[in-house]
Amino acid sequence: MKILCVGMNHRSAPLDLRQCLAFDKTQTERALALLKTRYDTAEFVILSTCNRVEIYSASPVDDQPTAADMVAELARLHHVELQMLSDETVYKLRDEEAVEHLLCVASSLDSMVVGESQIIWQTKEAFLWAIDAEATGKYLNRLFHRAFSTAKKVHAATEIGRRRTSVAGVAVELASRIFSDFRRKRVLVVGAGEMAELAITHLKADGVEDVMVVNRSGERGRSLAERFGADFCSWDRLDDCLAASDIVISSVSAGGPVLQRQQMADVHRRRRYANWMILDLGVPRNVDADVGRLSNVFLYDVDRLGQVVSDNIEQRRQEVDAARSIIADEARAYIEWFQSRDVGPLIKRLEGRLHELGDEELERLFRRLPDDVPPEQREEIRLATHRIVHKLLHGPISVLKEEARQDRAQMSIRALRRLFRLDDHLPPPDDAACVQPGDDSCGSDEGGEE
Amino acid sequence: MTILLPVHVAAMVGAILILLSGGVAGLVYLAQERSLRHGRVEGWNRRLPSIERLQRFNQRAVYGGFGLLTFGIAVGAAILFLRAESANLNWLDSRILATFSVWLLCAGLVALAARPRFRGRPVALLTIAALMLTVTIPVVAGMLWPSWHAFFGGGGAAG
Repeated sequence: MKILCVGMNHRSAPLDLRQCLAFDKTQTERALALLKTRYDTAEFVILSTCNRVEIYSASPVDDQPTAADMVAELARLHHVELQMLSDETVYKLRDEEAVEHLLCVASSLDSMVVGESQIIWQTKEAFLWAIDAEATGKYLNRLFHRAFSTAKKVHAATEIGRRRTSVAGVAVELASRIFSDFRRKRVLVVGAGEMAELAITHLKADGVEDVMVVNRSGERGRSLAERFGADFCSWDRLDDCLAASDIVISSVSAGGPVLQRQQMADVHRRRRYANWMILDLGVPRNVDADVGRLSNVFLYDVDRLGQVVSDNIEQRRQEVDAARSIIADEARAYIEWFQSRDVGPLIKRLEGRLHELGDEELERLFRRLPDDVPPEQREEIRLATHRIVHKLLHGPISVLKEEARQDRAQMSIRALRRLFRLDDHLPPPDDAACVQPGDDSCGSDEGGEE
Repeated sequence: MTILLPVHVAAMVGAILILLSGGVAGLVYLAQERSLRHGRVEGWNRRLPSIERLQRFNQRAVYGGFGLLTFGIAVGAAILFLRAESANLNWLDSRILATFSVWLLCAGLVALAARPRFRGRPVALLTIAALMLTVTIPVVAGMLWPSWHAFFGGGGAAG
């Protein structure tokens, strides 16, 4: 069997091209049905997100689809010119590379924001759709389950997913460290512009219910509050609204601070010095920097939040090495299992290879023998050669089969593949020009690029 | 009388333990607060309670510890009152005086903790200080001056 991954991501292809080749649920179902009809011995899963489009397949080694077939299918399914899917934009991965790639994808190492958590759900969804379409089988089922467990392991064992990488995410995390339940706190949004709207959207999405808007322009503020089901407070009651708040998000367009230190100190006294979180999203700042020195006041401006986001992204990147180590181990475990399932075809290939060698030598011998050697004798010699090959292989094959039954054939399989060069994507010994597996220019003895 | 002594001991030990937990909460609060002021949320931050919860715990530990300390001292005073004549015990014992001064310190801490202005960092620092003083003052006093009050293995004929 071979495992293939053919696709493109945010690094290999521009957004326009990815959008042309994206699959929604209906398109995925249709595509899987079509692929199964064309290649009934193969298994397929299609993963399509805003940052990648990938088709995974498992199929017999000597059978279609090859990687080239899959690229052609991708173009055909979306009525796109095949020339648009060049080697620069579309990657073709096989076996170990494909397995490791999927594990990296599911663990979010291949994501635009390393450590993001959405990709695992997208991968699960893609797998479920493939199950519903009866497009998967033993190999991809096991592979995808391995991918999910690896992702869980990576996220548990490393910090890769823990640090927030957006300003909103960082703010929520800080709020949850300051307040025991920030969703029950009163949030005051100062301003009614785009940032204020974004802030209210995030707050509501995070479950905050008590939101109040205050703005210099009453009309805009009221309109924003109504749209989001928030309360509205007029600017002249700003101090009262501040005194009643636990979290303040300020994003007003002003030439300088609109919330001064003394004003905030007076309000803080009215609040009886309860914990106060202030997010100053204004540029230039809306809140006097000295406000952050007041006791129990946690003031974060855009620079501070941006710095935290950068630090978090950097920390996530540092976790990548640890994550890759886990992924390499898991990929190896899957490949060993995968190769141990290959005992039958492997034995067939080994026998075929040795018989081929035997037949070559027989032909050479027959050319040297006198012409008057009867055909029956030639046949006897041929049969004797075959019997020799069978006897030579009988012992090793019995051992291999027994080991496979006990699920410990991995080492023997590896040795056989290496010693007899049974991997179909390895170049023939006399082709010194090939250096890359799957290189088109190789003309491998299995007949083509995979 | 027989019951008063164990009650006194239990209350005093309980008060110290509560103040100890308040002190630990105060330490943790200080670390959390410092980290959060810089916008840092590390792995250890996430495992600890929030600032709000730590403050609340700290405050309750101060009130609870002080309450139990007061009770323990009151029971001790009752013991002393009942046994002073027969056992020739002296109210002006070093450890007794030290304990009363600790009580006054803690009373001051409670008064400050009740004021909103001292919420958070000041109370945390004072709790840690009060805990250290509660443990060390009576012990040191008993070591420097003779005391009939036997606790922590020191002292003479009390009991």
